[in-house]
Amino acid sequence: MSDVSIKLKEVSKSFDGKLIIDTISCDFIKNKVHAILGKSGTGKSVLLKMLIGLFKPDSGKILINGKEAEHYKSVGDFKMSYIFQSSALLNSLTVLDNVTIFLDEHNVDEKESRVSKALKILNELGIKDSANKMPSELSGGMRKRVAIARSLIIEPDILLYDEPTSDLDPINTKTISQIINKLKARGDITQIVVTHDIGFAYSISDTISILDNGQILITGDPDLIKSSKNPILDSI
Amino acid sequence: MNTILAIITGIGESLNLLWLTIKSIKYFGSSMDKFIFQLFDMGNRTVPVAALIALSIGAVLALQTGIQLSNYGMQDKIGGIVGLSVCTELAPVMAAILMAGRVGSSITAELASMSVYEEIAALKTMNIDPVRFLVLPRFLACLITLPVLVIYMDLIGWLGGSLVSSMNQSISVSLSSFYNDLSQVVTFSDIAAGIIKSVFFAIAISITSCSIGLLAQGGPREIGHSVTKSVVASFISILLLDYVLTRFLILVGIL
Ligand SMILES: Nc1ncnc2c1ncn2[C@@H]1O[C@H](COP(=O)(O)OP(=O)(O)OP(=O)(O)O)[C@@H](O)[C@H]1O
Ligand SMILES: [Mg+2]
Repeated sequence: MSDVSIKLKEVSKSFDGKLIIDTISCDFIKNKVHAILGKSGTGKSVLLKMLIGLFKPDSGKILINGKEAEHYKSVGDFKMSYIFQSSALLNSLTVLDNVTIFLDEHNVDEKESRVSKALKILNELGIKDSANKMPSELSGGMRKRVAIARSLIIEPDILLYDEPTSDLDPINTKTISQIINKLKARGDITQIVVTHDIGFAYSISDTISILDNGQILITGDPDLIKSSKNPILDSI
Repeated sequence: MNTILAIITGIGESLNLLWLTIKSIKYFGSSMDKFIFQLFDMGNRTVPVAALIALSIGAVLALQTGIQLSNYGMQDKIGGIVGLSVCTELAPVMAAILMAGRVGSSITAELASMSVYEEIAALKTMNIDPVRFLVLPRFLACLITLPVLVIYMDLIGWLGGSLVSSMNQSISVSLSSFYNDLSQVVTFSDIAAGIIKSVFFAIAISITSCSIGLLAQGGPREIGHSVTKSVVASFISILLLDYVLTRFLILVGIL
């Protein structure tokens, strides 16, 4: 029980009468990396947005750290963060302000220590030089890293990534998988990564689930998934 | 039928947002810098154009009524007539229309693009309330800017009227007799009536444009649609409110 970070119990969600998520039950184990693989339009983003509380499930339960909560972003001291498919940086703020916004708005620490915290994270992600740029001046890969920085400053217990490598070239993809693996090595953060890039999923995951038609077809470690020869793998 | 339903839903959503905004006023302290930024931004967008509009409505009003009045030899009444129309009706309504066109539209465009590009959703995942973060500073800045704009347009409108009255050959009322008549006719409560109107206009404009912007969803095309919708909705609510408020102000004896 205590090693389960997020538990889904028969969760369903439909839009305009169309069932997108069909009674899914699954566990995400604490401090591991979980990948969710699936074709475009199978409801991966919808599933992830239900985990953070942007969408409410029509039926079923989502337990975070054993507790059911109205707003999942934080349950007690247990924090979650979400990295959008589109990065979703605030375009009117500089990179630095984007990263410190959570601390600024919740009045955490003094201004100087917020900034130094942000610069430290930006430095770790290799984008410290862009701190004073506007998001529109950045490449897609840099924007993605700013979005990761904005999430990391929250010191989340659970980090959700929606297609972190979409629109990225192989070099940037490798950077992102290095970031995820580095966080994994720290061993104190649960990472759930939605993607349709199989190679990327193999390079980061402890477990992989394949989502199709609103249901999870199979869950297992990368070797199991590789050897399953599931026909879906060829179509992704 | 669908349109009527959409209008009723829109009004409901705006009233709900107004309520949430009022509830968040207690957090004003933390959004001080955003409020000041909005105040300057709104001033920059409206003050120059407002002067032009006020000057020209004052001038045209003086020209039209002045010539009529002088046909009956009553041109010495022009100060009061121009003064009263400007401060009770023309300045508040024109200021509001200007505010809706220049400020309301840009609020909607900004918030709609934030919705469409998931910036609002991103704020929610960080437990940052969009009402407190985005709506409150705009609401309060609008609430200050519009009444100030009305006083400013009153003064410039009167100036326009007095200049035309004194310079036009067929009116030729001197500046001093223009302002003399104006000060006898226009009372403090007439000026207050215009300011009271503008407070309600400011609430309507800021809440309508924020509400429509926040609720935009879909692709980038939706941003343009939202702006059009917000400007039209603001104009209609200004005109309706103007009538209702005028009736009300007459009823309570302010006008
Ligand atoms: N807010 C919404 N309103 C209505 N339908 C929606 C909404 N969000 C998603 N859907 C529908 O849910 C389905 C799944 O969408 P989702 O974005 O989860 O797909 P996805 O698996 O993330 O695809 P991709 O890999 O392209 O990102 C789609 O058919 C979409 O039309
Ligand atoms: Mg998606």
